[in-house]
Formats: sequence, C-alpha cells, structure tokens
Amino acid sequence: MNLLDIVIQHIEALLMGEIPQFISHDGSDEIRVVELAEKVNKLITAVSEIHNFVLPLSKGELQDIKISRMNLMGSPFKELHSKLLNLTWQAGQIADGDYSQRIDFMGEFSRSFNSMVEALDLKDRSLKAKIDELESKNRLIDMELDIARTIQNNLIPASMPEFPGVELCSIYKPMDQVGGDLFDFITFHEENKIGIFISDVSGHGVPAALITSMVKTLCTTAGEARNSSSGFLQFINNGLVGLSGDNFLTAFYGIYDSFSQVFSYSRCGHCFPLLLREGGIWEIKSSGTIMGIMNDIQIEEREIKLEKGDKIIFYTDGLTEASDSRKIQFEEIMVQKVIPEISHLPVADLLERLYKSMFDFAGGIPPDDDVCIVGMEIV
Amino acid sequence: MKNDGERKSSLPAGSMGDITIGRPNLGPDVPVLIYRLMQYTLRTSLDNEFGVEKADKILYNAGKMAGVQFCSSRIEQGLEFNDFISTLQREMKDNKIAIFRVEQQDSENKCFVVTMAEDLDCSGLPILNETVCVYDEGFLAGIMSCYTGRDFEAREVDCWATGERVCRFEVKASDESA
Repeated sequence: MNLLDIVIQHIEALLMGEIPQFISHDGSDEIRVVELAEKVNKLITAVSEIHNFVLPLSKGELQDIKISRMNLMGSPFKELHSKLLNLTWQAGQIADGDYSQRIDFMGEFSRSFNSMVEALDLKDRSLKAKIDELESKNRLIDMELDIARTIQNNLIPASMPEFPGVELCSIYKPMDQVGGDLFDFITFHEENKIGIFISDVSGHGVPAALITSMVKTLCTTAGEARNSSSGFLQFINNGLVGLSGDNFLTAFYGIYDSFSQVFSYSRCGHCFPLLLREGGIWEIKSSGTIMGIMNDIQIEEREIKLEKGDKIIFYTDGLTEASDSRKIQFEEIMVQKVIPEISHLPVADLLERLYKSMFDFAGGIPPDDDVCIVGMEIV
Repeated sequence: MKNDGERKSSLPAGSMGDITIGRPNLGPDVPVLIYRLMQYTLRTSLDNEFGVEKADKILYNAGKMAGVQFCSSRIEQGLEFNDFISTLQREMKDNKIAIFRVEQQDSENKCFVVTMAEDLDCSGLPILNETVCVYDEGFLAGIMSCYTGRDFEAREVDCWATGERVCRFEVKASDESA
C-alpha cells in the first residue's frame, strides 16, 4: 500500500472516531505526500488529546485533565471545562447556602440554573419563615406550660403537714413541665388521723396534667368518702369515669390513726408501697383494678398495725421503671441493694438517697416518666 | 513634556474626573479597540525602553494599583467572601471588564483559580503562544490584596493568546504576607 493510501486510510479511521497509530514513512515518497502524512500525524495527536480530555470530562471528572496550549481544536472543550469547573464551585457555594450565585451568558442553561437557585432560595426562605413561626409558637407553648406548671405545683402540698408521731416527706419530679403524678395529704376532723394519697395518670404532659387536676378536685371534695380507703378511691374512680378519655389512673390511699397506730389502706392498680421494718422490706399489698374506666370497681380494704421506727415508701412507677443504658430497670437493685443500705436513715434522707441512686443508676439521664416518692416514718 | 518631580495626577491621590461634565456628549464609554490601542502602544514603548521583563513588571504594578483602586471604590468593605465574589462578578460585568468566574477555592491556603472571559486585554487576539494579560494579573492581585488586607499575587496560566478561549489565573497570598 502506498503512502497516500495509508494517509487516506488514517483519515477515514479518524472520521470513524478511531485514534489510529502515527503514519510512518521513510522519506522516499513524494514530498507533498510526506507533508500530508505529517499533517495527518499532527491531526492524530490533536484528536487523541481531545479524546483523552473529553472522555473523563463526559464522566464528570474535571481534575487533572488538560489539552496542550496550541491544540486549537480543543479550545471549545477547554472553555466547556472551565465553565464546568466554575459550575462545580458555584454548586458548592449554593450547597453552603449562598443563593446569590447566578450564571451568566450560558443561554438556556443559565436561565434554568438561575431559576433553580431562585426556587431554592424561595423554598429556603419559606422554610426558615415556617421554622421561625413554629419556634415562636413553641415559645408561646413553653410559656403556657410554665404557667401550667406553676398551677400544677399548687396542686402538690407546698409543705409537709405537721402530724404528731409521724414524719412525712416527698420528692416530686415531673418529666415534662407538667406531669401526671399526684400526691396529697388528707386531713380529718379527728386530729389523730391523716390520709396519704398517691396517684399516677397514664401518659404524660398536658392530658395527664388535666386529669391530675380533676383528681385533685375530687380529693378535696370527697367529704365523708375520705374516711374509708376503698370509699375514697371509689369516689375518685366514679368521678373520673367518662372524663379521662383513653387515660386511666392508678392510686393508693391509706389512713393512719395515731391512737390505734393502724394504717388502713386500699390500692387500685398502683405500685405496692414498701414497708421498712427492722431491716426488712415488705410490700403493702391489696387488690384493686385501675381507675377511670368503669364505675363501682372492686377495691379491697386492708389494714396493718404500725410500730415505732416503721417507714413506708409510697411511689409511682417512674421510680422503679427508670432504666440504665442496658435497659435494665431500677426496681430490682432498689429493693435488693439500695433500700437495705439506706433503710436506717431518717425518712427524708432516705428519700433523697433513693432518688439520687435512681438518677445515678440511669447514668445521670433524667427519667422518661414522672417520679413521685412520698415517705412516712413512725417516730 | 517635562517633569522630574512628582506628578499631580498620580492615581491614588487624585479623582478620575467628572465624566458627566467632561464628556456630556460622548459619554463614559470607549470602544475596546481604543483601550487596546493605548494598552499595546504603551506596552510596546515600555518594552522598547526597559525590555520585556521590566515592562511586564511596570504593567503588573499598574494593574495592581488599578485593582486596589477598583476594589476600594466599587466594592463595599467587610463583605463576606461569597458576597465579595458576587459583587466582584457583577462589577466586572457591569463595567464590561470581563466575565469573572471562580473555578477553585482553597480558603485555608488563600489560593484561588479564577477565569476572566471576554476580557479587555486579549480576547479575540491571534494566537501568540504566550500569555499577555500581565495587567490583568496585577489587577486581580490588587483586588484581592485590597479585599483581604494582605498581599496577593496573580499569575496567568492560560490565555486567549495561547489558544484558550478564556484567561485563567492562579491567585494566592504572597509568601511574604503569610
């Protein structure tokens, strides 16, 4: 095959999108054909360089690609490369929140890109406005909840009642601003009697707090019903039925008579209080179902004779169900280890240590339920 | 022509004149070709007088002074970087200096790759196989120096006159100012 045929073959290969080998010649051919072959070799170099530039460019690889300076066929690709590098930078700026970025002089693409950035800017502004509005509403809700907390704090006894021969104390920690736990001390005409009430509404927050307010109202309007532990709980139960939505209530109520030292009590689905006597721990058990669901439930009434030095710990399940990082609950360690170690302490100190132990057990993380503990000691 | 002393029209001290009064009929614009006529005749005179290296240095320094002047008079001081770039782009476009774009940004090392397309100095020139935008180099260095308050230098790595269709510059803080 003569040199001219080879040259034609190479040009055809280039036209087919191939990158042929350089044409070699020994200089024996006609000088114009040799010149043509050398020009085609330069063309092969230029096309090869452009090919090697455009291929990664088409895959979005913008770094470390180059076309040599005097390859003028590649200039439009170099311009495209430059614009893509700039677009990459601009996209990064937009990702960082700079919506002032605009593209000029790139025709239809400029219009589309700029429209996109404007739309993003608009959406971002709209979102920020919504967030501001929500934050504002949230602040209002927080303020209202603070007021609700103040009101609810007034439902809880501000101080412990003075009752001869009995030391009383309490710890009350709602999980939210307002909570569903409640305790109260019920007074009687007879100075030798005092009632201790503790309850827990299912759920937390505002709905639970509203029911708690109802319970408090029922406590203060119980009248003669307070003389009987089961009668008192029944009164509250019947008062709540139909008003508590899907929520229910657990509660314990006990009446201590300092003359007879008898503690009569009833319980409706609530945690058993713990009697601490001479180093031992006993659950104060009785039967009764949860309250607020149906009228006139079965409530057992029991009594126990207390002795000097006896302590009773009344609590809600926020105490015993506090869990550590392994999801193990506090109840077992509380009964088996914590209380035996502190049962000799005065009841107020005992409660403080008990709450701190629970808090430490939970790794210093506030409990995810309301916690209410009431202590009573016969002195 | 005379004057061995200090010029009264030196740039930083004097105003550029009130063009609305001075050119009420012709207005503020001049064709690019006239700008280039001045730029390249001046360049050639400097080349002839001082040699290419010295001439380039003079043009670079002149561009840098212009950059500082441009930045201080046209761009609000104390802008965040993104706002600064946006303003610079807009000012360059509105004043028909060039289409300015950022390709790469290394804020930590104070190093940038920027391009100036359709610039005044070289766009459309024949291929000369050498970069020619030494005045623009100084101009960009002056702008960045003015904005950051530290000395910057700029080097043109690609130019229309070397076969590119855009002029590309590496702009970075001078080692001395780091």
